Amino acid sequence: MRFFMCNPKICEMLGYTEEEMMRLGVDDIHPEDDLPFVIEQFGLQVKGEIKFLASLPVKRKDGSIFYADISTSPITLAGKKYLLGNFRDTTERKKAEDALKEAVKAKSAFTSMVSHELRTPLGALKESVSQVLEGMLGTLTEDQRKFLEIAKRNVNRLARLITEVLDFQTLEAGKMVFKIQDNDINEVVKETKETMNIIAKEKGLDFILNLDKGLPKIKFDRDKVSQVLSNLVNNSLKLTEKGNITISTTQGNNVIQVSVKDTGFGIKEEDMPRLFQEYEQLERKTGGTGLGLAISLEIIKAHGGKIWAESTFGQGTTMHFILPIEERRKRI
Amino acid sequence: MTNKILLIEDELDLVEVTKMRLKKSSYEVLSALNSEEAFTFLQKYIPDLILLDLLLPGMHGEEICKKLKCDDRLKTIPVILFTASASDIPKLVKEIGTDDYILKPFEPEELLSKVKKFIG
Repeated sequence: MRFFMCNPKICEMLGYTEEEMMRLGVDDIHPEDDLPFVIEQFGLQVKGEIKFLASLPVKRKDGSIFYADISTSPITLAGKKYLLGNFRDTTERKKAEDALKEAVKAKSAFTSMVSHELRTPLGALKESVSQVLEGMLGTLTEDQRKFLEIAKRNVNRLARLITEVLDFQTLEAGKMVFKIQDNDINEVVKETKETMNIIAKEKGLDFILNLDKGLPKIKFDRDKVSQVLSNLVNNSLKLTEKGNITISTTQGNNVIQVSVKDTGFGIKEEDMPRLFQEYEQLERKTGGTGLGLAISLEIIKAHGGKIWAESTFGQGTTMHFILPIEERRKRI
Repeated sequence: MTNKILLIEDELDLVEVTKMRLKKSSYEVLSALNSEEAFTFLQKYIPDLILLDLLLPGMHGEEICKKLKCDDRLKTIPVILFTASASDIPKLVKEIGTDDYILKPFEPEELLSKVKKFIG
């Protein structure tokens, strides 16, 4: 396959003159090792099976390599058939992508290291406070107990925040291990209500369950889905001052849907796109990491499900997620 | 007879509080700050359970565990990983053959119930 015609830009890209180009063919402008792949890809393009080749290695006259997106289309000139190729130099883009990959890797390593370094002293701190609080080292006065309880509560809060950061890191890297078994989603809902009911009562909120009792058992990681549900209920509890929180389960077309509805502040329309983004907090005073919904999204996605929100600002929010009845999980 | 636990951990503060917790539950606890101290101890005594930190100076917890599980004299001692590294722990537990794990910071009840599971 010899070249028939070329423009000055491709000559500049490859470092050849136009005359030199006319003596060359496809096999002269790609590294030898990549030739079989390149030729196969061109063959597929000629057949119309693919239209675009992304970041193929291309060899310049001086032997240096750059990467280009190449698209080809068949054309007919004076009755003869030719292949017209367009090259777009992607070296800079590839460099940027590589730099991004490195940055993501560095961020991940940094987060793991920091979390680990924080968890170790936290372990000693938590245990020291617990032992004094339990009276293992002598009797406490009411005031001493009260202040140590404050310390313990805050140590636990720190531990939870660090766990969230680590969880997200693991999920993001696709390294989370899921324990998939047959489970009853209604059981998980009831358990979540049990744990969260105290907070709801303290705030004077009603907790309503609206469960479809005929739901089949489906395969999911009980702890992880429970984490999602707790997250959603926790958000509702934080953002609802009066009224109620309703959890309902229903069966749809090959899916089970769980919805958490509250009568809270609601979410502004312009804030909706940021809802599932990591480290985003719509309400800063609630004191979280901004990872709860990002983690929930990753967990539900890993089960082959979907999660979304509906809200009218000032009237409340409903968070929904669906899990497939028949397995169609991808990453687990 | 009191059950003996060997705690292999390099964070002295954590060693102290963990020892206190376990001693209050009537276990005898001995500690080693690294693999050298641990194996010197293990030449003389056989504990009923080992609590093993992962990130130790010198030989890491993973290697220590593999070494323990290859030694006919020591391989039946239950080993609980005692670690602050949260990622991939269940996988690691399977890979290196430990019997369970406890994540730092831990709940006192969790520590005691896991220890109890193996040595009563």
